[in-house]
This record gives sequence, structure tokens and C-alpha cells, in this order.
Amino acid sequence: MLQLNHKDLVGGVLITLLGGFVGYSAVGLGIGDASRMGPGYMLAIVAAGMIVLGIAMAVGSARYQDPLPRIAWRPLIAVTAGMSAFAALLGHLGLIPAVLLLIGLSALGDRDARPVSTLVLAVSVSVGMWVVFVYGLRIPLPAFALDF
Amino acid sequence: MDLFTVGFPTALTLDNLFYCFAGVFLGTFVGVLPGIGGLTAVSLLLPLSFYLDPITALIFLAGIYYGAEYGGSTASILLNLPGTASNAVTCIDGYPLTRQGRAGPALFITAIGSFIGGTLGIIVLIALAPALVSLALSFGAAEYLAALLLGLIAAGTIGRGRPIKSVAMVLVGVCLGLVGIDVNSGTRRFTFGFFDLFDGIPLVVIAMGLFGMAEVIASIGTIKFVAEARRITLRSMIPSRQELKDSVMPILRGFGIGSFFGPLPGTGPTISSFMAYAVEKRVSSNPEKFGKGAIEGVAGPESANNAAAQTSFVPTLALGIPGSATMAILLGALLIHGIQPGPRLIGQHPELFWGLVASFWIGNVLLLILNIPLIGLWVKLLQIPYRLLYPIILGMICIGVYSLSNSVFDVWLVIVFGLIGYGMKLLDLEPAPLLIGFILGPMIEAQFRRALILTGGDYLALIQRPIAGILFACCGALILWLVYSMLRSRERRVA
Repeated sequence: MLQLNHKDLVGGVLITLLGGFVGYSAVGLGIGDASRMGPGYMLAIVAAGMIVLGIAMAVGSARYQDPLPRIAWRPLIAVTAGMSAFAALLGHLGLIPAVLLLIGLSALGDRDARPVSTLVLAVSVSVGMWVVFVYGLRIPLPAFALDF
Repeated sequence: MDLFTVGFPTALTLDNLFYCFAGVFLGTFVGVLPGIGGLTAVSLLLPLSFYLDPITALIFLAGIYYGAEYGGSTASILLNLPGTASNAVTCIDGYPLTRQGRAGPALFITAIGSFIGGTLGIIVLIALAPALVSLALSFGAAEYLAALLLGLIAAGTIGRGRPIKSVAMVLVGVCLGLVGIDVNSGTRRFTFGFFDLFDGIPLVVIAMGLFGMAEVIASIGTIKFVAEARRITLRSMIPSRQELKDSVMPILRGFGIGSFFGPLPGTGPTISSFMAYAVEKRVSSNPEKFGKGAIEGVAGPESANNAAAQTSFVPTLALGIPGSATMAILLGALLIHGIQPGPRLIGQHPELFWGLVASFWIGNVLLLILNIPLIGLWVKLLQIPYRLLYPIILGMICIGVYSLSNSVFDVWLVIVFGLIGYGMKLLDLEPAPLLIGFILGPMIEAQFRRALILTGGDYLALIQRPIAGILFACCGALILWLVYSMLRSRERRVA
């Protein structure tokens, strides 16, 4: 029985596809031969292994049930948004606003987050980071900036 | 004795002493907190160590690693939540002991068992590492290739899941390790036009994404601390005479098991602790006590995982081959400091090896102090809710990664790997084997190329060298065992 809702089927197919991509690229990079290995020689071997194992995983998965777990959307989106905000704005607004946004957004990932405690946390962490990394370790970053 | 002429003088400088303390303190801290293991903590603090001397950095990072082995048992015993994977087995008998009001003695025996296992493990490390070095100094490219390959295949066995998935993850890791400019031909591999990828993907980025960010996403909302304020006083920790007597042999057996499995690639603390538990249950005259609060079931595994934590440094320091993902990060730290790991390490940098070993002893004594008189502090720590903790972890990840090369490109890469890591978690694909593949992949490619140039592309000539032949035979045996266990686990699932 083919069960689409299956960890090892999804994993096996993904690994096979990745192996296929790596193998295709390896040929393009140049495989060479055993005494004069090209940049793709090792990749081709690894790709072959990935394709074999990926197919074995997918085929073997038909024998047992292993349904996919539910995705934790709220933590996933909150953490990704917070870190992306940090990466996007660090260079433009400076360290403290970027960390404030990172903490503020990612804290929303937990249902029990309270506005006041989140604010206190965000302020203390951003100041703490500035003290340790900029003042202490001399990483060249402004506390605040406005640069677009 | 190099240990006393080089080791202790190095480890006892003020800087090294301070960072040894900082390491074991932070290690205990993250070990106590469920959801952050030693591996996450070591990768989180790796960027901080760039600002230290190589020796100090290694003492610091290693301290975090074995400190976490100590701290991890606290949450296991008090809350039935393993602080780290290798303490999971401690829950089985530790938590029942807590419910019987014997939490104090359980924590005491754990600390003592960890101390004895750890300190005796260091002796094994001192005896074994130099012996392995003298063998390894005669290694050529073929022998290196075989030894690295053995580490790579063994990495496929470290997963808790099915070996087929771990092996696949090792291979994915090798591919990621080969990203960047090929040193031999100058060809760009998988850089997708990004200039920042020419030098490859930084190890810290992979570790922070797969173990930091992904772990945080998966832990939010699932870690609920039991806010039970238990007071553990020093007086309540004193075990009874019977409990002490029952713990002596399990601790010694645990040390034996831990120092056997510790140096083997791919096994390490987690497997050692499970083996020790199984052995204790088998040799016990009343096995029905296990699971209901047998002190032997706490003493044996805790001694074993600490012995394994210390002895797992043997292949790392003697051969430059990491037996576990954490060891891979420590090797990465050495490489970042410009020190080439391998059999010449101990000869060329005796102060590094002996200083580190001496710091292990100092660290274990510090841990004993941290875990017996100061246990109350850690119990209080268990009451900090995770929702206040994880934003701080994310902040550390972001700024730590940024500081690698002062570029936000690396932060974006962490986000990508964090999402991949979370996807892997959903699919039960483990990140630890991937990390080992990532580290060993480029080393293997270099030795593979060199070995085959020397033999003119003749694969058979590789096997004809005696040491290489034996190592290749070990690889073959391991592969056969892997295939056998894959088939067997499939039969079991069907049945």
C-alpha cells in the first residue's frame, strides 16, 4: 500500500532527488578518473549512495506506518520571522533595534508570551548583547543606525 | 611525566583556570535545562572561543561538553525530563527515587559516580592516546583514508533511528562539506553564484541551524517545566550505608563500559549509558527493583556516560577523527585556530594535549563542587520557563554567527539550515551524522585523491598495505553489520 503520509517515503524521495541533483552536477563539474580525480569524482560516488539509500528508504516504507507529525506553525513562523528581521535590519537600524525585533517577534512563538515580560526581556537582552559583543568583544556594530 | 611538567602548569594559569570553570559552569547550566544539550551549547559558544588562545578555547569548549554530562542528570532525576540524550536512561530509576523522597541521595550518587567515571576515564585517555599516536605516525594516505572512512561509516550507527537514515544523512553531510572551491582544480562547487560560499559553508552555521534554531522551534510549547519547588539540602543528600554499598560496583562497571565504548567512533556517552543500565539490570540479584527506584540504575549509567565523555577524546586528539558530533565541533575549533588535528598534534602541541587533560581533572573536581554543595542553585534554575529562555538562545545564535565574518549572509544561511533542520526533525532524520559527514567529507576527499594518485588509480593496491587493509576490513565488517541490522529492524517492524 502506498501511503503518502509517511516520514520515510517523503524522506527517501527527497534524498533521492538531492542525490540526483548532486550526481547531475558532478557530471557537469567533471568526474575524471581514479588516478586523476576531477572535482566531481567524490560527489558522484556520494550521489550514487544517496540515490540507492533514498530509493531503499522509500520502497521499504511501504511495509510499515510512520505518519508525519504536525508542523508547529506558530513557533516556526515566529522564529523565522524574528531571525529574518534581525538579518534584514541589522545593517540598517543597528544592533539594539534588530535584537529588539528578534526577541519581540520570536517570543510570539509561545502561546503564553506576555507583552510586559517580553518587553523587559527584549530590552535587557539587546542591551546585554551590546555590552558583551560590541563593548566587550569589539565587534564593529553601531548600537543604533539609520542607513538605507 | 608530561602531565605534570607541561599539563598542570598550562591548565593552572589564571586564564585557563577561569575558562575551565566557565566551561563546566555553563555546561552544567545547559545540561540541567532540558532542550539544550551539550552539542547545542558548544556550537552556540564556539564563536566566543575565537577570541581566546587555542588552548583556552579548547579547555572552555571541552568543559561545556563534559559539564553537560554532569548537569543532565539533575532534570532526569527531579523532573523525569532528560537534560541530554545520554541522561535519558537515568530517568528510569532516578525519577522513582525522587518520588520516594530519595532525590538527595540519587543526586549525590550521580555526582560521585560521574566524578569517578570521569576521572578514571581520563587515565584511560592518557594511556590510550599516545599509544594510538605512535601507530598512527606510520600512516600514509591509504591508512588515513581507511581510518576516516571507518569514522564516517561508524557515524551511520550513532543515530537512535534506523541506520539507513543515518547513513543517508552522513552522505548529505559530505555533499555540504564539499561546497565551495575545490582546492585541487579551482572549480566552484554548489556556490550558486554566492561569493560568500567560495570558502565553503562555515561549520558554526550548520551547527547553529541544525542544532540551535531547529531545536528551539521544536521545543517551544513542548517543554513544560513542573514548577515544583523542591528543596534539596546538603543534609538530605547523604546516602544511607546500603545505598553507598550498592553503588560501588555499578560505578566501576559503568566506568569499564564507558571507557570501552567512549573511544570507539559512533558510540559515545549515550550508548554507553544504555549499555551500563542493561548490564546492571542483568547482573543484579533482584532485577525486579529496576524501574522502581534502584540506585544501581542511576550509578552505573552516570559513571558510564562520563567515562565515555572523557575517553571519546582519544580518537579526536590522537587521530583527528571525531567520534561524535560534539567532537567534530571541537576539531572544527582547532582548525579555525589554525591547528591541524591529527597524530602529530600531541607531538607538535604538547601543551595543548597535556594542558587539556590536566584541565579535565580540574574540571571534574570543580563539577563535584558545583553538583553537590551547589545543587540547590540548579534546582532553582529548573523553574525558569522556556519562553523566557529561547529568545535569548536565538539572540546568541544571531549575533554569534554574525561575528564569524561580520556579515549577515551567514545569518541568512543559519535560517536556511534551521528550516532544513526542522524539516529533518519532522522526518526523523538526525542531524548528528550529517555534521560528522560534513567534517570528514573534505578530509576524505583529500586523502582519497592523494592515495589514488600514489597507486596510479589502483584501488586494489590500497588494500594491500597491512594497516590500511585491516582498517578497510573493519569498514567492510561494519557495513555488513549495518546491512544486517537494517534487514533485522525491517523484519521486526513487519512482525
